[in-house]
Amino acid sequence: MYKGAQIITEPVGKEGDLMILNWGVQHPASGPMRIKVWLDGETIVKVENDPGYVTRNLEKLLEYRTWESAIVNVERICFIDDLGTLLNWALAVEKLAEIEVPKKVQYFRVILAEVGRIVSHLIGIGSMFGALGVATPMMWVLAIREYYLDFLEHYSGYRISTASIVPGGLKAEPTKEDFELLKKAIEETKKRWPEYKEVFKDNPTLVERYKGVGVIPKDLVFELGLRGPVARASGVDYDVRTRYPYSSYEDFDFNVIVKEEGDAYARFLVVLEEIEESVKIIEQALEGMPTEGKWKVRVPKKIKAGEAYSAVEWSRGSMDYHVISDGGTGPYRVKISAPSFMNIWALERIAPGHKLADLATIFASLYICHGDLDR
Amino acid sequence: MGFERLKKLMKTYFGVEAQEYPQNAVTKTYLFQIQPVHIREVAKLLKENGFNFFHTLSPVDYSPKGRGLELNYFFESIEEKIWVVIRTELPLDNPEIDSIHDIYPAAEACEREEWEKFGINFKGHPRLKPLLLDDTLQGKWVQRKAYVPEPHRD
Repeated sequence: MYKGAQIITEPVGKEGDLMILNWGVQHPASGPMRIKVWLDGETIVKVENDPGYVTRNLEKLLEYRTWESAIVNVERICFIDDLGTLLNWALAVEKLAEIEVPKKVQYFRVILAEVGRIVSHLIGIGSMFGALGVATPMMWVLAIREYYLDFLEHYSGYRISTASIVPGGLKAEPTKEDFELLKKAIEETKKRWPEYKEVFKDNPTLVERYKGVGVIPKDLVFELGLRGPVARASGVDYDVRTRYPYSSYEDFDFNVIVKEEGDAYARFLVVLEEIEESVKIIEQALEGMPTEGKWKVRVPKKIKAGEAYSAVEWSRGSMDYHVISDGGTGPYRVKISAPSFMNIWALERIAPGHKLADLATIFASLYICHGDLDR
Repeated sequence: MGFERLKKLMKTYFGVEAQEYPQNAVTKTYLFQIQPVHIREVAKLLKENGFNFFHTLSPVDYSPKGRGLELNYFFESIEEKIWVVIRTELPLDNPEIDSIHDIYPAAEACEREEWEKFGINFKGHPRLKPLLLDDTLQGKWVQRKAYVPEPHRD
């Protein structure tokens, strides 16, 4: 919770024999968030999350938008992978308005969503190394990410927050050059990734610090409603793309990466290996791209009263919206159920018992985005 | 199967029928409209019948339409791939409902968030304290329709 410009000093101190420490608000592991840690020597006894430093209350802001202009707020849930959140908004509004978009729009949306997943996962891997103070992998993954951002920039005009998926279709028609840039990005990934993957996977620093740390048992996944790579690393085969296919995902052949160990290293591997699967999906979508139909169909300015619930597998897990319409030009109410908001509560359960130095690795392995945690 | 049993028990215990909820674009979903006092019993019944995954809690303020606060709880049965929506309605002044945080620990954070934004008092919740919002917004119940955000400057 934001406390104005004052510096929080109150909880630093002692409670019995325990020392209380503020981990954050600013720290190199991720965005701004305070974690209050009770320590017995070096060992963590208790942890309390204190998010809310980047709250914009998007749910309220959305009530002041039209169906189409809402994309401005929706894509700012998380800037790193804005495409998945935009796709979910388009699906929800199309469900409300009872319209269906042509197959080729669905295919191109899949391409965009997977590009979003790749750029997000690349940064995720970089930050998991960053939590150890190892900076080189971040530079390597950013070099690959640059090719995807070139594609997004050429297609939409923006490198992040692309505003490219709108209810009813796409913002712009993709051109020949867009496809060429995307193919180049895929080529570069396939050229560099096998070597990078080997280096990342067997990195002795990472293996030492991540293996066996922060184990999330399978039961805890159901108990806390954990989602995405965090759930899949604990042996729960839950991926909205294959479980409840949307936007023609049933047409593509790819694997859902599931690991049984549930430790920080398993979560790292899930994120690492999902990049290749996304590349596979993009290649299939490019190959099988239908040609008939329009790139955008008409969406009425006013949508009849009703409600819709939709979910997509976003890079960090299932992203759900509950959208209510009262027959107006914009949403009456939107509930955004974000994966990081659910996943962060695993930290309070699994961190106790570890050393303070492991808090950074556990936190980074939970793959939290503060944008969608706070909204 | 779990859902068939749940349907029967909901009818015998609370006299409510399962309604189709085609508005969920994800998959097959059913809706139960219950009285707020029954929320804990219903949650226990859901858990016993395989609805082991809590998705979210979504309140809607219908006060401009002459109604109160509507609460929607979304659950999923991982095994059966069926979703259930539990819907109930609270009055806008002093809305109160029992917390289900001990039955579904995933609901704890969601309830805390909705307490902060809608002012719903979840009875028995262990930490109803500020979570996301700025100090200046506490107690203003920002997600209610009556609250109008102040501009940063004129």
